[in-house]
Amino acid sequence: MRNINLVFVDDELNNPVRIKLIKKKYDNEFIETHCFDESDTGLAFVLSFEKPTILVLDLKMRDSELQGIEILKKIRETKKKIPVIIKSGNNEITNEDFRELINNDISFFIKKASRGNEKDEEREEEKSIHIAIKSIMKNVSMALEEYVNRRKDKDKIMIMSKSGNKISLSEMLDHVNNETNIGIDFEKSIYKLSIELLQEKN
Amino acid sequence: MNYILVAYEDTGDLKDYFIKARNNLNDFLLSLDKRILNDIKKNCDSNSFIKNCIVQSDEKLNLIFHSHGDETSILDNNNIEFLNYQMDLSTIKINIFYSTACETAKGKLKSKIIKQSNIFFGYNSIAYVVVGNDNIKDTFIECDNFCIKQIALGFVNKDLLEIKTDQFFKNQIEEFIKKDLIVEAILLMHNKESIEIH
Repeated sequence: MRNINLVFVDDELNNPVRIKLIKKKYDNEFIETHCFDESDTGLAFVLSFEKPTILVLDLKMRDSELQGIEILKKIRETKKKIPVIIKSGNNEITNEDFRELINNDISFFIKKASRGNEKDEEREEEKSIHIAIKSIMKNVSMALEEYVNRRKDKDKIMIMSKSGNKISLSEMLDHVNNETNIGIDFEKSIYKLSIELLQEKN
Repeated sequence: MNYILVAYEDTGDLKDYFIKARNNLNDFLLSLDKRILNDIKKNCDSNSFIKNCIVQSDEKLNLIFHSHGDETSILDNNNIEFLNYQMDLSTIKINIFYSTACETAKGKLKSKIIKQSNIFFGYNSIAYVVVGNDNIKDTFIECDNFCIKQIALGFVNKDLLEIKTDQFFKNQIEEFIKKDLIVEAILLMHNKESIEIH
């Protein structure tokens, strides 16, 4: 099971080729992409998972009762920390909408590009997703740092790999912060552990 | 399980761990009246390893390694290889191949071994050990040896072995968490996720 759900909710995602392209771009060992063209199924999916999630949400959902702002509000009732990236076309958003989005803690707002400028929109989207992933990672690093600093044995060599590495807890923290291979592997294990614990709890 | 060959590395920083892991398994096997045919320690290069594996009878060997390793070989602290993927192993008949070294289940060595063994156990990534405290070290040893002990007890169905091993690791992880040993739990989780049984 991969560690982060990247969820797209957009009424234009009813095209299998487009979904395939998104998955090809973002799916990796770490990230699992899910696409929904209906707001209620997208919302149900986001609410059903405890694992780290990033939501890319279209503000105006055609043929759906639930619009982007309503979805966002429902998510925020229980999930305060999910990074939400809002996408909206020109003239779709009022000042009132914008206030609502800010009050509900969106991470990014991307204006949908006009025909012919889709590449700019894609670049903006990629950048936002990348920053959102980093912010999730940062939360993990901070929690780990807090824990390691509580340990009296944090500077003692106590972790050994059977490939010959000797590491203290503080050094492991450095590996995580510097995103070395050891640190990245360790961080992945943190997610896996969190997911297993949450699954058992449920 | 008639023939068991325990190869372990008894020099270097992890020597206490490897020796303890070997002794833990040895005691268990002796309690089941299993016979340890040979016990390879330090300075065993690949030639002497092969010699140690040649047995008179036609029975297959159960090879168990507590040592260092990478995806191409199993080696000791001085980088002397017991075994590597280029060796001709055609003279050795293998029943169980069990390695707790790093990356045995990752690459060329695994590809070679699974073709000629009935059961293969290995880690496909770096295998970690926490050595600061004896109780913690013992938990890592019990986890390393759990699956081979189950095999020795007669459980040879691979799906069942996977389930039992996974559950055993999970129980130990939970115990670590209860004791606020979060990093230890994470590392055990890492080891659990790296296990491959074929």
